[in-house]
Amino acid sequence: MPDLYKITDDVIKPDALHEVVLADSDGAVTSFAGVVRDNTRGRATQYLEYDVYAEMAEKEMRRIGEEVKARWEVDAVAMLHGRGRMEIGDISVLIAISSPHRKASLEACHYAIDRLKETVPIWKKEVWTDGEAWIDGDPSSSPPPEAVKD
Amino acid sequence: MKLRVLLFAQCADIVGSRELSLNLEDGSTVGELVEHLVDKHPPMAGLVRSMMLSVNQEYVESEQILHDGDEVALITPVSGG
Repeated sequence: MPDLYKITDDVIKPDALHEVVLADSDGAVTSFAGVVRDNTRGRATQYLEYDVYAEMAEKEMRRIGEEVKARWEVDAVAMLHGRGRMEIGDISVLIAISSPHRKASLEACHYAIDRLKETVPIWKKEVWTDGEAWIDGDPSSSPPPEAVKD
Repeated sequence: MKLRVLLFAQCADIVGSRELSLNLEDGSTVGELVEHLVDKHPPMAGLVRSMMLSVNQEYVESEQILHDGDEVALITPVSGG
């Protein structure tokens, strides 16, 4: 199946990438959807605004996909990331990875979202009821276990 | 040489623009370009330490030498996902 790496202005549907990555020889598809939450560290979030360096973001997502394919027995990788204003409950990022057997796509998907949060040039602004701020880095991130293996 | 500089998020807010066209001396590095911008926009100084840089959509070190027509982006810590 062809890989797909895209920044989109459209609403991201949860199953948008399933058919994209699925082939008859696959036994598993692992998907990850990042969703806009209504609070951050106790503050009520109104909405998020994503700023994206689209051309480079697509290149960096492809680089992650290639890394994943070199490390795990996966079939296809697809990633979508939204931009602009996103409301509570919207999907901001969707990753789907297919593989003949489940373990590869499960591990690869975890790795892919962790890497995306480290290297892909996208920035999130949180807009609260009482202010707004660009978020600096990923406060919840710890290095993915696979990244320290080499 | 003429360079295209792309700004996002906090950098864009500080400079008040998302794209600049800059003329620098031939042989300048991307680090020197950042110094030049900080001189013009002092509030950017606080962002420089954690900033990554890209030239033509590839991450580079600050010693990277620039060429006419390069597209440079200042990449503060990313927070996608």
